[in-house]
Amino acid sequence: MSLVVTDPDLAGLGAMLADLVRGNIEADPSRAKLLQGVSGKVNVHARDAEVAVGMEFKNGQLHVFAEPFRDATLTIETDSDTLMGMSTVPLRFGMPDVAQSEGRTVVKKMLRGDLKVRGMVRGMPLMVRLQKLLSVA
Amino acid sequence: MALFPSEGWLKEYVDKINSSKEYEEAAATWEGDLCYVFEAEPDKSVPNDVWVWVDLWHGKCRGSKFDVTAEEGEKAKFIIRAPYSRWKQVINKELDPIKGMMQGKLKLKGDLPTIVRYVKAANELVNIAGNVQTEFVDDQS
Repeated sequence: MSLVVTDPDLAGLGAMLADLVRGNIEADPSRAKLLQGVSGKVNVHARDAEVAVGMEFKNGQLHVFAEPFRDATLTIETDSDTLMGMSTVPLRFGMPDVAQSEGRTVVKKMLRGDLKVRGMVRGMPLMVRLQKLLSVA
Repeated sequence: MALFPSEGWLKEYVDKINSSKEYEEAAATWEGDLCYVFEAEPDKSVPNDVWVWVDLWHGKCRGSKFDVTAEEGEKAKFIIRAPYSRWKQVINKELDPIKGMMQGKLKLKGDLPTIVRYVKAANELVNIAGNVQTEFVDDQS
């Protein structure tokens, strides 16, 4: 069973996120567990690139779609550089580690509104798992 | 002024990579070769795909080849491809490469986690390309 499922013609941001998760699971197969026991929809929006995609945790798989969902639990919206940078931020309990400067930078961007996360409370389990799946730090 | 794409342009590009302190620092632990593919646009004087190979190692470019075959180029650890006119936008700094990848305008083949880990180095490679005094083949009079 494929752990990351995409449309065959998926390109751009969606393909990048899918490749990132695939690559991380290939390098560390224990990360596949992060797909289990969770379900929900996440939208990721790269504002400056004017691209948004939908990702769904379902049945132990991550499905990546070229279009965002109307009913996503969690929405992450920021510029393309910040989005890329989020993968390199050291994590602590699945969230940016504020004890390190990169982590504090992410928090500052959230406070300034440069990084918007909607549905954070309800979508916290999704956020934590997505961060861990995308992290290359 | 170096004509893009050409062997002369590649030489200038490699010289600039090897004299860049910023790239040397950002790519200090990078190991792996890379192919750029400038895809054909016959109406813009690029009749065939042009594959350019660079061997990047610990912040330096230790080898390069212009117009390698697709078969040879496919062996590179990373391949970034786009139509010629997209590359022109990148070199002219009209298109940010990360944004371009997210928009599907530039396509990357290779281990994405590695690229993300070295995103600063990748950006520096693009900045360097923008610093080469370039004349584009479709702008030639």
